[in-house]
Amino acid sequence: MPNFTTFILKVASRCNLDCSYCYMYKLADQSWVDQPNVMTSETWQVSANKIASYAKKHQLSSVGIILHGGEPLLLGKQRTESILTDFHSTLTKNGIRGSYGLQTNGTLLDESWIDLFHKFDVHIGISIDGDKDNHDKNRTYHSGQGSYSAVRKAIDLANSSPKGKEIFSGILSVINIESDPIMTLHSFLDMRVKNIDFLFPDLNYESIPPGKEDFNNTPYGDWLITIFDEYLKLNDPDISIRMFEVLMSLCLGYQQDIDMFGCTPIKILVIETNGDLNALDCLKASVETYLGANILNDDLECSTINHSELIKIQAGGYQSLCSKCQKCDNVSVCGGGYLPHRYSELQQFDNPSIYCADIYKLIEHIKAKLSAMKQ
Amino acid sequence: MTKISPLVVFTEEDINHLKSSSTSGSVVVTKLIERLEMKLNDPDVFAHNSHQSHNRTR
Repeated sequence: MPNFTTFILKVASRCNLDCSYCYMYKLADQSWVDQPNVMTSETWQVSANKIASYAKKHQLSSVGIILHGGEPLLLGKQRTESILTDFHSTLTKNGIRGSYGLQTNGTLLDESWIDLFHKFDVHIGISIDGDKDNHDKNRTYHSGQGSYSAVRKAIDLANSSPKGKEIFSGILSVINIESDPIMTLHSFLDMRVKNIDFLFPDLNYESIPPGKEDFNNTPYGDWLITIFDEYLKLNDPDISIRMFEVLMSLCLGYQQDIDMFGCTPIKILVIETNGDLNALDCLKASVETYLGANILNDDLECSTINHSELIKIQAGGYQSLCSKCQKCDNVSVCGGGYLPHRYSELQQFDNPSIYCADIYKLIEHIKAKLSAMKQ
Repeated sequence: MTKISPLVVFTEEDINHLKSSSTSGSVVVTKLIERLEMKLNDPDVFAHNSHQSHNRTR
């Protein structure tokens, strides 16, 4: 079993937004209902100690610690400062380097949050879906009001100070194929955001993504190819679109350690707000992810986790792929697509991604563009 | 970082040629290859980033 290298702490189980596509609240796993609102100090202190011991035992010089939610800023500044102090002190004492990240919807971000994240070298990502019209279609408050203006303020704030620039690692944007891809890309560049990633909606064979009624249709691939060509045309090395960089790197033969592409096993463990140990959080779109253990009572290597079918699948890499994927000429690049997108009730995760045709077309396009750049 | 079997092979000559060209994407791709080679050849420098990236975190 490969080691876990990244630990996602669900420090707040609720969110002040009500996004239409959220994998935490809107899809298969509804366990959030029974979670406490925020993580207690006991839970994060035990987590820090057990992660440090685990890292030491497995000779990991560094681990990824990601504060996630819900909306992680709902933990509050005081508690966030405490959790970061405790993790930093516990990991450092054990000779482990923590690499800290946090993904926020941005609506609660202010200067004092930025000061706090800068103090602890926490790199933050902000979720935004393009321009106001596009963003406000899905990313609303519980009242139904769009969140765009608050999120824009957060991005402008992060971009306006040296400290903000140092910790702002970029944006995540969920693909909406009804939006104009070029306008979407330029909406980010106009915000002075140059680190971008596009996410496929977390859907599968049971909840068909919009435009994917026919498995062989490629609306997502076509949308991404339009952006890819614009990205090449801009030819600006300061613009980073993670999905394209990862796919190009894999095409060129450089292994990438990300849970989305490539055949690398998924090495992520989620600690829920009450300490429950869970598989990769996005799998909540398809199945219940609870592994039957809790950080307060169990070891990170307890047999319940190691024998869990879900952990075996996420750790399986190439071996977890369906036979069609294993035989595919692009498998080393797509890695079968994101695990949550392979799910069907009948065959569980033994399917190609619901976005297989899209990803295949995108990879073929990238290969053709790279080949054309050769002498 | 390790290497896997590439689907598109860039030789040293291809990279040098691309560096001097103004083809769409030439700067983006040559800089990417430079960064990847640096990670490949000097793993200690990037050791602090040895954890897996999460698609739902930037």
